[in-house]
Amino acid sequence: MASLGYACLLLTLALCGYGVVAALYGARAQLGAGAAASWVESARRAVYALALVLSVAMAVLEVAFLRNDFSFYTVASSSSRTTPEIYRAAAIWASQEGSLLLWSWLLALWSSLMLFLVRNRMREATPYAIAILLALAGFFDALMVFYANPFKALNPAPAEGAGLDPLLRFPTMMIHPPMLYSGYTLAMVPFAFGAGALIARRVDAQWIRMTRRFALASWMFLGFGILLGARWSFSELGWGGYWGWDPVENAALMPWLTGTAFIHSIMIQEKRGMLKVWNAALVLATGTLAIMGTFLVRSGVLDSIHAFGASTLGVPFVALIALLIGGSIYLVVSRRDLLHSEHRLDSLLSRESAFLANNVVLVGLCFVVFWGTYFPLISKTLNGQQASVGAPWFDRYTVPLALILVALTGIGPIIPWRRASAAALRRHLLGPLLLAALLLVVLLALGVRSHPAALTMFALGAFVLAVVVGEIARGTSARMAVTRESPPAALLALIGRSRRRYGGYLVHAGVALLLIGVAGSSSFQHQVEHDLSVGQSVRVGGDTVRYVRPTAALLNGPDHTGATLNLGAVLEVRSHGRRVSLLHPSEGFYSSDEPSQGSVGYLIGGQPVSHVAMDAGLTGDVWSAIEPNIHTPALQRVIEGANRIVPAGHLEEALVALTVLARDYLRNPPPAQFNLISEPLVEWIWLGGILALIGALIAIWPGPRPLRALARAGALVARRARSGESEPVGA
Amino acid sequence: MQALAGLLAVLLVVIVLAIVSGPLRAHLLVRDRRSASLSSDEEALRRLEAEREARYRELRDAELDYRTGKLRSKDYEVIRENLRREALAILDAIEATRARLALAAPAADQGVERRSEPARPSADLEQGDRVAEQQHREQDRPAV
Repeated sequence: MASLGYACLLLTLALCGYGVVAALYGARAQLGAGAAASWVESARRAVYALALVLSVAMAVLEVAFLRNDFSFYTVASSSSRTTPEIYRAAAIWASQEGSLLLWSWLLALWSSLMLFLVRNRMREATPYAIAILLALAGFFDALMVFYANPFKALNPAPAEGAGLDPLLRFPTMMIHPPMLYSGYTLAMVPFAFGAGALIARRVDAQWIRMTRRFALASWMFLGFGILLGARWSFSELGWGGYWGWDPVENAALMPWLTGTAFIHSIMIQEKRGMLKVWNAALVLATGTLAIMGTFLVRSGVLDSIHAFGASTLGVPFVALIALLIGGSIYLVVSRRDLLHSEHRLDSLLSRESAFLANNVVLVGLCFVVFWGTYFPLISKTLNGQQASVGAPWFDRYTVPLALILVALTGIGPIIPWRRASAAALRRHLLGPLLLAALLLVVLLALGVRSHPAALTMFALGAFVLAVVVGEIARGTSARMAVTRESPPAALLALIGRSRRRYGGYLVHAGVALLLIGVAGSSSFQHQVEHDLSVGQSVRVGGDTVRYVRPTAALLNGPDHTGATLNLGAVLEVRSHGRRVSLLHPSEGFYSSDEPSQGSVGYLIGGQPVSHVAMDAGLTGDVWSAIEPNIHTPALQRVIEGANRIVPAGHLEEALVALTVLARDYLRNPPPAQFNLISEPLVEWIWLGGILALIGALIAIWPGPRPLRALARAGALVARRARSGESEPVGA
Repeated sequence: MQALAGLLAVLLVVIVLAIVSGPLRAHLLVRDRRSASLSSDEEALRRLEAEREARYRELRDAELDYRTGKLRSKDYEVIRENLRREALAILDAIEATRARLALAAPAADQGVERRSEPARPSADLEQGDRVAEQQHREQDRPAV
């Protein structure tokens, strides 16, 4: 079946080539309207066909993974019979080749959805958008055909595969890459339509209206993907952090930041016809940064914990990025005469101004992250030495900008469009500001004085939460005054009728919660790395952690990740003399493909992986990881002896030897190294992320009957305007 | 297995060719005589309808801001009047475009086998307008 998969790839290349030519021919050739439309329609269908063919290709590869078909090089290199089935299903994107296929497939799916939704609309811009989307898909298909073929066959097929990287055997890792790639590929839809609108010189707000939900969905998927990655890092990597300013993390953050700026500033163009140059630049930058993000993950050009992405795809990616940057600059500069604003700012006290300020801060943040991420490449280019910057450098610049951003997150919802009165602003600001000040006073009185930036973030976070709660309460009460509905009914109806507004407010509240969590957990954490013997205790923050007893499990250990041997510990956490929880951290030992490690040693000779245990709560988490010591002379003697006695390939006898090893470990446990962390408020990060996700879903969700609602609103405004009624208009 | 893979690949190529060539075949077999101006009117109508929707959303937002105390009465009146004026101009343009479409549709229909029904969304909308107006005579609805 590998040949079917490869045939699919060749077919996709042909489809992309044909589609680009047909779309441009339909757009540019001097044809009658019907002939031009039929060429463009054929190109549109090429995108649908591309989605179909890539779906078949994905299905072929997925089946190969599930059937352990090691005649596929991709399967043999990133899966094995010992890899649990649930992780085999997701191993497709653990490899370079599978990731490229996933990217291309998702792009084809989202492009098809968008083109289906805009059929019979945007006739001038759509052909160019189709050409751009197909050219991008063609680029990734060409990479697979010429550089990283996911259907490369092995003959003869090996009996066993290398196995999935144990670090990736984690539930959130199964959906983290599809979420991020959905974010990247969804960003290409507004990019393509924005560029198409510029090429076709149709720069009104139509392309923004048509692609708004895709921009928002891209933002949501990228954000969710980043959050899942942070959760994976926190729960799996054994260092206790969730964000390390790693280049690949930053690569996803940058388009998220410009995407955040974009989904705010397009509202100004939709409403006022302003910021056209800015929006065009932002959408093109977001698309280019999404490609750069993929480049960073897949090229291995920068050192990263995501080393499983390293390869030599750098040159084609650099060429594509250069083309995107050059083309974007040309388009914006050559169309600048069409991109003038239709209105001016009515007042500095307006939501437009707040959004502008938020855009400046977001782009500033993106620039800081960009500079820090690419600094190693820049320094190498300039002076031949690859220098890098660390977390303190990023913190120095991002923390103040983040504080300003949170303040604006609170101010934005309070200010109306066009013009705000100072009196109304004062009235709406007073309550939230008083609450923030009160929180600050209480925290200072409690002696929390050591981290001014974190204290400021707490106060600003409280300010944002108070603003959002106040806004929702005021809206609900205004609706109740008009409709006499009960509070819950009024609240639901209010949100249902203004999904963009109140979905956005929930996102703001979620971001505030998340940043409070970041400030609390990063500023007030206590970390201890300590060797403990059974019965010994250590203080971590306000808690005491005692090593109660060791644990051991052969195969199918508690984490079900396919580890051959799990060695761990039972830890008792006590707070103020009272037991609060028992933790069970462990470390999984996996088999390697190194026969030189011996007939038994190879079974535990792979990369050991921490299985973290934590006691999570709203006030804080106690996080624990263990590094058991199996290199004691006694345990090594067991392994060496077994290597001599057990013949190669005798798995059952080798497992008996490992049972002996585990028994000896339990009888005479050597001191183990523990990494213990007390992190206040870290759960707020995940809760804030979930709230922001819910808010984004509300904002994206289409109305139940948009056409009927539109018609109703039309009839009403016409009736009222013509009869000169003075009552406000509803829809 | 190789033969099956080959057969599936050929089948896929045939399906893809059928999908992609459909519009071109249809254009050759059934000549579409819709004029370019009709297409651009449809496009213009959809754009105007989107513009109208945006104005209504702005009106709704302004009303919500007013009712929640963010806008002063004086500012709200100015904003509302401006938006109403803009919405009326758009409604006039929509009516003019619909009239052009209504005139062009019978001419395009004569002796032509139509591949699609271009004016249908607008017809639905007209009907929706009437229904909505009827509903609003019975019950007024707030923006909040």
